[in-house]
Amino acid sequence: MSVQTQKPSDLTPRQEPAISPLQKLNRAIYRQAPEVFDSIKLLPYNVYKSIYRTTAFPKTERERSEAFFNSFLLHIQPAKIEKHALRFTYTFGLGLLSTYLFLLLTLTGILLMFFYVPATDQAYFRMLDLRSSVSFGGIMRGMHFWSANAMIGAVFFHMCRVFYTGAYKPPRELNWVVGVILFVLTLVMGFTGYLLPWDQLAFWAITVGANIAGKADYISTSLTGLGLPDLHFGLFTKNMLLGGDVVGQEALLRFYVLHVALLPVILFSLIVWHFWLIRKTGGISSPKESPE
Amino acid sequence: MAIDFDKEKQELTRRNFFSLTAWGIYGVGLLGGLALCGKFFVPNVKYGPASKFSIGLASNFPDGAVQNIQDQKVSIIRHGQNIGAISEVCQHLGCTVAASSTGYDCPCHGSKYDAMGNVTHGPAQIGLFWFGISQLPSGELQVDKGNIVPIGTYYVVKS
Amino acid sequence: MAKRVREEEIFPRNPNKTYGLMEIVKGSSPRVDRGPDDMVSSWPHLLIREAILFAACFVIVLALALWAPPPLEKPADPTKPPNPAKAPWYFLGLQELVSYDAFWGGLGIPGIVIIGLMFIPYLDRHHSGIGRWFAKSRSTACWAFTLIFVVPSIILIIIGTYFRGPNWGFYPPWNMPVEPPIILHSIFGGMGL
Ligand code: HEM
Ligand code: FES
Repeated sequence: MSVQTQKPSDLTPRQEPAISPLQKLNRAIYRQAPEVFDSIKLLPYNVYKSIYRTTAFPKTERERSEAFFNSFLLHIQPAKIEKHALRFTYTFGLGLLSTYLFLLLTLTGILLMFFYVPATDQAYFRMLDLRSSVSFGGIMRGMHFWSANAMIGAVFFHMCRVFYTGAYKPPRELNWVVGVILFVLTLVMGFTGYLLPWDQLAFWAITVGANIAGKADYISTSLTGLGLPDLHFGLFTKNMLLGGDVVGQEALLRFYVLHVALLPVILFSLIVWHFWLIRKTGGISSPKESPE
Repeated sequence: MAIDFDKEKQELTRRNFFSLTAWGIYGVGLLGGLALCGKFFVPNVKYGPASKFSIGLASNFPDGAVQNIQDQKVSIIRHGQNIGAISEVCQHLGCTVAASSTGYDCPCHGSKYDAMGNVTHGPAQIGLFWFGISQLPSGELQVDKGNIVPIGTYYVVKS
Repeated sequence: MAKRVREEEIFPRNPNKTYGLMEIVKGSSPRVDRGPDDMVSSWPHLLIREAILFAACFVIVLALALWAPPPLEKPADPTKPPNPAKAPWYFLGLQELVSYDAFWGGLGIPGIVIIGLMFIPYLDRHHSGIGRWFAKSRSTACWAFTLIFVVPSIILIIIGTYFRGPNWGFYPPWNMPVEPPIILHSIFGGMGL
């Protein structure tokens, strides 16, 4: 940057000696070069530093804490943690395992989306193609399948561990409720995903499932006893779910959108809330909270 | 936004009244919008096989035979001059029943029906639907799945 | 105007020091490498455990995917259900319930169970036994949860999976006339059995 200075006494504008644009450029480069050179030299370091604001291998306690405070991913967790919370046999890592499986499902699910078409005349053949003509297609589907099955188990056993360790007691009531919703949503994810291959199991499991929703008519029919009009809750829900009376193209499309967009977003948001509630209620539970 | 009750005048303060009204309108607006989104999902047009379909002339159905119209999930039975149309959709949770020696069996949760469609074994609680049959001007018979009739309601062939 | 005294003038900061005076507390014994209340640094103690768990999770899922590919049945045929028509294993408990009564099995009982689960922390508020597995003071709660929720869920799934055959008839597993359920089928199929 060139700085122009003028003495106040110098009333007539100073006449710069005329220089060619080339000379101008030359001078500018001459003045700026060291700075630019330094920036280039430090480029990798500066880029690294702007992303990861702490030393890669923190040694002192302070650096270790900073590693957590300064990292977007790590700051979700506390910088210091009670030894008890780290015992594997306390949590069996089940909550974290559910989280990891959810992440694996998201990853493999997005990959599968590149090859899947939610149309009744294509879906099944896309499944066959995945196995026969997509590199690693079978493995991706396999990982998605096994993560889904494992996640159901992990969430169930996580819930059991939370119960058996009394970890739902005040002040963690709300987090237990969020957890129950997560459990139900995990099952609903399994239900919606099960239709997508459009094979025999898929079709009939969803037919039966949608008809179970239809049985909610029982509630509205019973309510007519109180003088209310029959609202056909069940039929309504079933129609909303299937987009028709039977499982067909509309149902496949609806289940697809629920499975790949709406439910994952809700599930993800609730998981984030779940984590936030863990922090706000003082980290995970500890025997210190109830002297025995 | 707490409720601000003016004890002397025994009423809400003016400011509080307006505040509550404003939030009320806001809330109703939001909920209304949400409800409209719900309407978006109600299927106005349903795709699928037509509910009325022709099964051809009565002479296609020999006496005593049970004929299965697979893509409509309907069985046509004939006893003498009587022709009936029985739904093959299980009354429990919608699987397709299969004909068996005793009538119809459902593979999904084990419901059993006799040859007339009456339940002989749960979990289904009511018998299979029977549909109304009528004659078209061409002489062909038409089954109307929108017209559910009591079990044993036949179309009688005029001879 | 009084001159504001800056903290650094009283406690000068030395950037090389890893400690600083925070506040004066009561107590007699200084502890080294351990914060108050048995706290340790999350780095590396928590991080390393998380990394190991992720690696294990990834490897197991990958191994299962390679070893036991997921099943794919025949294309959907709306006219003819397979016999027996089974839902995925985690819904077989529900399917078993539904085979007794569609409304109560499919909506009534599951609905009550889920609402019931949600109310647990608002009903059982006694502050004892937190942070211990099966604390003695909570034995009633633990038994109730086990007998009302855990055991029935598992037993129903086992019945639906291993004891139900064609037309949802009851068959002992050693006498089952049809293929084993889908998960087992793919695991053993993967083993080449
Ligand atoms: C998608 C499903 C879920 C995910 C990803 C998840 C994740 C987690 C994680 C990572 C933790 C930290 C402690 C640990 O690993 O055990 C945790 C704790 C907790 N979870 Fe979940 N969870 C899920 C479902 C549930 C369910 C179904 C419940 C109960 C109905 C529940 C209730 C709780 C409670 C109360 C805590 C605090 C435990 C304590 O303070 O010791 N969560 N969850
Ligand atoms: S659908 Fe036929 S018995 Fe359940």
